[in-house]
Amino acid sequence: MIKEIALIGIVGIISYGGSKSAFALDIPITASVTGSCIISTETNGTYAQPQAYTLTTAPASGGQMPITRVDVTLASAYKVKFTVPDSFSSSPQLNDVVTFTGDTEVSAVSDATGMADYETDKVEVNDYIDEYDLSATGSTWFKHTSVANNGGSRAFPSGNYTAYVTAECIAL
Amino acid sequence: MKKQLLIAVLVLWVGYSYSSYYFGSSNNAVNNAYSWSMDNILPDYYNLAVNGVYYTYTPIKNREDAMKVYVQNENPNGGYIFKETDDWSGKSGGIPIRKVIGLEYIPRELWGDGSIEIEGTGSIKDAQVVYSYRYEDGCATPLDNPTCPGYSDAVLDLLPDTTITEIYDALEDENINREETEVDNKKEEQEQEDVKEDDRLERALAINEETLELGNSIAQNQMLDSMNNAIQMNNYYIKTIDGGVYKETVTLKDSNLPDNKYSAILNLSEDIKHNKMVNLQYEGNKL
Repeated sequence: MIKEIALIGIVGIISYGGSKSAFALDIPITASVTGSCIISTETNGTYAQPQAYTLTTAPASGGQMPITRVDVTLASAYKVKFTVPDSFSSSPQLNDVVTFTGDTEVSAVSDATGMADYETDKVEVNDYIDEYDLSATGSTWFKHTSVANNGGSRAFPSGNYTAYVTAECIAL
Repeated sequence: MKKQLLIAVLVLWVGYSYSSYYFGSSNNAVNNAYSWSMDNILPDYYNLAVNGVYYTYTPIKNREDAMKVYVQNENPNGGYIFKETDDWSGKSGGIPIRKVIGLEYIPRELWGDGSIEIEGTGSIKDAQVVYSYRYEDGCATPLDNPTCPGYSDAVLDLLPDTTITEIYDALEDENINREETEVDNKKEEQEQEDVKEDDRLERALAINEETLELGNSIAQNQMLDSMNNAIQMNNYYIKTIDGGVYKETVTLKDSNLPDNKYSAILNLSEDIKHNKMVNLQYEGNKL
């Protein structure tokens, strides 16, 4: 009697498995989505040190502003968000508070009619974050400034310093 | 001679080369007048075709002003082969525009004068227009292909006398030439000897032949003479003399023939004299 129950149970399981493939089918739907907003670095930035306690990307001081290029193939589908540095990602040991300032501006556009007002229409989220609505297709170049002042007007310790500008394409 | 050989080698060397494409870009075409001739912008390369135009400028204007900027190139056949319009009307100025326009290899011949025209109120600054192009390696320089104009001159220009690589030419080797000359002289002498030998042999054969011919001619002459003699003698043989019998007509009558007295005297005197002479020899012996 016990053997029969066990046997039924096994058969039932097999029967159940076979009936599942017969009454249900997963049909795949695939898509290959390529980025319609592409961010690339046009020029890396370089800090200059006009004063012992200041590091700046200003060309007038000998620095190099980083330039970012954003290409979009869909109009009004994205906004781009830039965050200029508020700290060093790597540096020597700093015993003083470093104050960062920075900004992002449109450097050049590829479409006069659709992009000429990007700069005037930008949204300044805070001192470090700027957002631009990419309402036209094409390429837009953005330049970034960054200035770091060591606290107490103390000289920066010797060593290598690195900071990053963060750029994001955000779908609208 | 060496140059020609080297040129021939170069010609053969490049003869198998195949055509391929190269790409390049022009310098900034914009001048102060914002108009330019493409003859001064695009190089005179073989099968050059423009495949793109890059331009940039910064508009200077007030936001409320209407302004259009045209970047264009005329088509020699009429109209424009390239024309881009930037409408800055109601837009802010001060931000540079950068445009890269891809084209499908428009032949150089269709590119006329270029210009930037401004319509409306405003101006531009920092303008640049650069053309990217493609060309075949055929005749970018005359040396690219033996069929290019000026190829030979270009090759010759590459071969200054001071840089000519001396190619060993066995035919011009002095030692070999000398050796060849000696060999040739010996060969020539041998040939001359052979010729002389042949001459002698021919001459001997000729003499022999001549001798035979001479002998034959003598024999023939003798035969001819004999024949002639026979012919001539036959005339005599066949000559008939009219004759007959000549009868003796003189009749001597018997008579007394007297001796010649004077003859007898003479004979005697001669005898005497003879005897005396004979006797003279004996007279000597007596002594």
